[in-house]
Amino acid sequence: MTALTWIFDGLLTAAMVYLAWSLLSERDLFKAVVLFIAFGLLMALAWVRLRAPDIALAEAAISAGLSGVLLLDAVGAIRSPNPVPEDTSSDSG
Amino acid sequence: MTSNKSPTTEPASTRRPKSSSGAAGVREFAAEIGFARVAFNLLVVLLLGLLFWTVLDLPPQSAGLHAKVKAHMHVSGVASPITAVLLNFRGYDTLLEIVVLLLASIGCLILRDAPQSHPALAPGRPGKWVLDGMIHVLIPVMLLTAGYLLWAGDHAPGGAFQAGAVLAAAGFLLVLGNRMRFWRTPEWLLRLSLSFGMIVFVLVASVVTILTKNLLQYPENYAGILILLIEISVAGSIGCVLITLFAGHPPVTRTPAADQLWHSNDEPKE
Repeated sequence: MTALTWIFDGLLTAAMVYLAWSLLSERDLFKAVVLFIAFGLLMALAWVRLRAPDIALAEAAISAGLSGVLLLDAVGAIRSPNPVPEDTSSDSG
Repeated sequence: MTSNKSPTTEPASTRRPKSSSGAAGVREFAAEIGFARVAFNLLVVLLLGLLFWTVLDLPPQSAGLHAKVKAHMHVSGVASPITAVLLNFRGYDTLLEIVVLLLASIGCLILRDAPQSHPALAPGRPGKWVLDGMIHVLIPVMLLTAGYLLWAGDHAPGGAFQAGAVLAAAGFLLVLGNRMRFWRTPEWLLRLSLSFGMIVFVLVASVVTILTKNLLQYPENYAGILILLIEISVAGSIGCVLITLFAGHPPVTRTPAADQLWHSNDEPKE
């Protein structure tokens, strides 16, 4: 392991801890979901660094992508008084 | 409310040095923020400590089952050890996962309200042009990616779950762009597409179990083709299940007037 990878791993870990903290303490649900998506992407990178590309793929697709969309949908449904599936998604998209 | 927890723990830790030291200070502190919260935080810290201890206790280089998997790769029918474990050596885990996904989509269909009528499903909205352009460019690429991931699962990272997720993402785009209307899906097609992966998996599983007298043990010569068959059907079903989680709802009550309204703004405006 070279110094560069050490620096990269350190930055990655620090960014993930910071993101995790800020998404949990974020009061605005929409911002929290966006932070969660960013966290998922960094998590995928972390799996790559742990030499688990299969899990990285699943993490990027499911955690960052699909969960993010579902959470945004849920936030939209909470915000709008009379939720209609497509209407709520237009808030996020 | 998880978002409430963190902000309260933060001021607590910054407030601690300000109060008087010793047991009296701790008691004062506990009374201030409530006993339950302190107990909860203590529990969290305890669990965290346990977690750290477990991590430190791990052997430095865990061999795991790597050698065993490697030794049996020739009977698995695929070249990627991950796929071999997921669909051959521990096939029943994957089978149960498919069932869980199916149940999740059924729960989603039960819990959602049906929209009152379909015109409500077709609102013209700003940003539509961007979405349309993205759909034209991205959908073919996404389908290609899904196919590649499915094919790559045999010898490289990839497989049914990843391919299904990409398919679902393509479906999300279509739903958002109003190109895929969930309520128009015939009920039998919905039922079939959601459960197709599980049906194929269970069929294959029962046939090979009867033939080889062992639960989910594929005959060596047919393992590759059987796994491919399962992966293709499961990937399709996973895509459908995930789209249902996003856009699914019970059947819409159709009225002639609503139908007419729908058809009047049916075609996407260019």
